[in-house]
Amino acid sequence: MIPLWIILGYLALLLLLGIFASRFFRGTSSDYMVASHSIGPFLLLMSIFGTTMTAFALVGSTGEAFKEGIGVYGMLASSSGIIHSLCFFVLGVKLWDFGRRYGYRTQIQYFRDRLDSNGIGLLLFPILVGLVIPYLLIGVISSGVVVQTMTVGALPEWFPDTKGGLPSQWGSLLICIVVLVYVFLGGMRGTAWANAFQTMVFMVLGVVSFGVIAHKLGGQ
Amino acid sequence: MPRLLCILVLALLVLHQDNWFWTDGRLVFGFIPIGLFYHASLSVAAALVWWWATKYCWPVDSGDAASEEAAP
Repeated sequence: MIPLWIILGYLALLLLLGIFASRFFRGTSSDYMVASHSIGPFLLLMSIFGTTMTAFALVGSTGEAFKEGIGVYGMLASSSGIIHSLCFFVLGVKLWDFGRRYGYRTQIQYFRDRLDSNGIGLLLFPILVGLVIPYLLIGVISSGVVVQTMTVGALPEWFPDTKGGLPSQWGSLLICIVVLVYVFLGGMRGTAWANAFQTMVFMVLGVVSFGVIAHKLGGQ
Repeated sequence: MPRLLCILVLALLVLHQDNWFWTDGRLVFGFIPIGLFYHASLSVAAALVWWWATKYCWPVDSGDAASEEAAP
């Protein structure tokens, strides 16, 4: 039962963060979509780290590491360190400046203006949405599976088919609701705060997990 | 400077494509698998390269410069 309470507590904290972030909302679309361009280097770093730590990274890399070896974790870290920084260095700063100067809030606005074509916006919209959907779905499906696995034995009378674990579809639904609430209420600011919070949790627990696992595996 | 930066970033990208430690069971300092240690070191190297890049190759007034370029 303890893992279930920890998961619920964690999700409740994310909800509170979203609600708290909504108190800083200035009532403009720019503030909602890009936090009025106010996200600084620290929050940006923490937020991107949290954004990258999706089910793809956590569940996928674990499976790949089981298959290929522990180096997978390092490879993911170093590729992020090289490629993310390269994108920011080459593209990020200029785009941020154009966004601030011309009031862009989406990628499509930039490309439509830059190429002086409404058609490119119509073309890009379904492509960008289409590319995001599978990425989001991987996260939703994996989070449900993780919740089910972590809560096995918590609710045996309610969910005997899953050995008492919260069924994956319920877990996915619960996490979708929490994410939707803090995104809708907090906009980009709430999302960045939630990601930064999750990054801090990941970092602390990552170090703890490394120590525990290394200790348990010692000598084998 | 930009040329040196390009060389360093390319070197990082090449060094990232490692195959040689994946089946090596040696432990560095007695507890870190060498494959993991290699990428941890590469991550530190990437951090140093980008720190240097932002320090010396990124104009201080890049924001203003970009704005001026964008101005009609």
